[in-house]
Amino acid sequence: MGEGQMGAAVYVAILGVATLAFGITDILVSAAGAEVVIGPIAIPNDLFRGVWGGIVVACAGGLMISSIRDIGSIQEYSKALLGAMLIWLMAGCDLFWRLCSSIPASPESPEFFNSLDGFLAGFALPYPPAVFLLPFTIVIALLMVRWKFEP
Amino acid sequence: VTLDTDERWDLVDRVVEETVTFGGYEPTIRDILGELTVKPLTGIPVAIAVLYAFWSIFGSFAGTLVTDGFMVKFFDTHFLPWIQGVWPNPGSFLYFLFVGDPMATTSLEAFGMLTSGLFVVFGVVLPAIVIFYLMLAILEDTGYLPRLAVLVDTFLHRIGLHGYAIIPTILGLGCNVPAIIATRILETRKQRFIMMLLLAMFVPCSAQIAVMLSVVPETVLWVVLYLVIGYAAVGYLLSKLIPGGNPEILIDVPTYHIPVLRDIARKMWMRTEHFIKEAVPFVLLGVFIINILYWAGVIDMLANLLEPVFVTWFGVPKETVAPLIAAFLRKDLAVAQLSGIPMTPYQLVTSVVLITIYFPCLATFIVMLKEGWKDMLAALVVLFCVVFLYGGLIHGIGILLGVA
Repeated sequence: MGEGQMGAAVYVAILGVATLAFGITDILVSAAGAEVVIGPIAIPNDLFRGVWGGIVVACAGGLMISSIRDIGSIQEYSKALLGAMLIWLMAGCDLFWRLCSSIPASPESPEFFNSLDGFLAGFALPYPPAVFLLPFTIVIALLMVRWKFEP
Repeated sequence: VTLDTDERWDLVDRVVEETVTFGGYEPTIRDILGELTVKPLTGIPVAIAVLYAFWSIFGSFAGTLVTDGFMVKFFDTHFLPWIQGVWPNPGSFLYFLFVGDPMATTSLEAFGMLTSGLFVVFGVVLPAIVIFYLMLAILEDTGYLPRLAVLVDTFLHRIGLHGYAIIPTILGLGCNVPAIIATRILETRKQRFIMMLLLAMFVPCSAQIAVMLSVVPETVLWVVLYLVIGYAAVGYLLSKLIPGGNPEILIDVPTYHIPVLRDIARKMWMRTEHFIKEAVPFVLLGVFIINILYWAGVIDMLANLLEPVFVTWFGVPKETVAPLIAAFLRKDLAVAQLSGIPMTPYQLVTSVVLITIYFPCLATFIVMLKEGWKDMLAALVVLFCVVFLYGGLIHGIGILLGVA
């Protein structure tokens, strides 16, 4: 394993462990029926986003960790990329939900569309863990370019 | 010359040996991702994620944005007061039929053809159908759906089907009518029969899901759980009881590719157009017939007649008779009706499951009939037995858990 690959393996390992830990926390907290907000991170308490979403995040972490032994090979790298894609899917779904809930005005308001301030407030913190993991997973996609893997 | 299966595969091997030359090939990321998504260890997490995204986007767009964000407000605060104000003579039969309850404050409660009928069609069902078919078209055209078929092949073989049965199942989550037609892709009569029954009983259409998410959201996960268990258990029993084969088939799995926007739009429009033509008349007809039956006292008579079965065996209020009659025309309408009946959360779950499994909606019924009346009759017999037993079982589970 080259130096670059070793660095990438360490990075993906740390990211994988963090992702797995977030996923397990999501599942446990949601199963307990409590919503937890730690600083900018919020763990939802519903079965759909919390438990089901937590399973997806945990699986993403598992995929990343399983790839680190030989991440320089295209086969193993693809597993890490697949894990990153699951995080993109999760984060994308959350951002799409925020977009959809920010466009209409509140039910009490006589207006149909939200004001600009109200719209932007819909994107305020806290966010679920997948959104925070999103920028870190982009590094995995960049490795494809660096290692010249054929997409 | 007649060849058996083994001889045929031997022949294929010999032809391949003589005609195909294998050269060196460097797999691309796309190839490997394609392989990873059909292997159970890596494919199942991806399937879980894809289904999560599917329902998350469905709920966000249809529920949060269109129905709750705009349609509820439009129908409840603008359209309903307007039509209640302009339609003359609130005590008349025509008012009851077209506008419904003059004291209603929401379109869903009013239950008139022009209030609940239009709200269900355009406020709830149409946005759900549009986003469902968009997502389905994307899954098809990227090449993920055939991979899902390969992935679930082992499970579906246990219930007498094969991987391709996932296609009618997913189509059924949109609308059961095209799903019943799609059962033709299955090889044997046994497979088609099992699939048709499972679709009619355990696969709610997106219109029904949308109404469930809108009016009884707290029940959805439990209802889905009961339906998934029922799908697997009844499928397994049917595969053991019904004679006939369950042959293997080859599934052509294309490489992943970016879908063409025009194809997606065309596919989505074709399906949505078909749905509008099917659904709109049935929803309006459903409200019309139910209102006539209420007006004539038939619903009350049936409710009293069937009270022992509903209250004692299924553990639900006798008033659920009316939604069950409506369910024959439109199941989404029936779920909407349930929201107005006072009952415990567990009774609500049982009622929604009963509505889903008790009988296919009229449009599905007609398509099933077209597929063969003998199978249709046999399906009805099985269906009534399953509804009676499964409904009673759910009630029994509720009693054991102390919630019924």
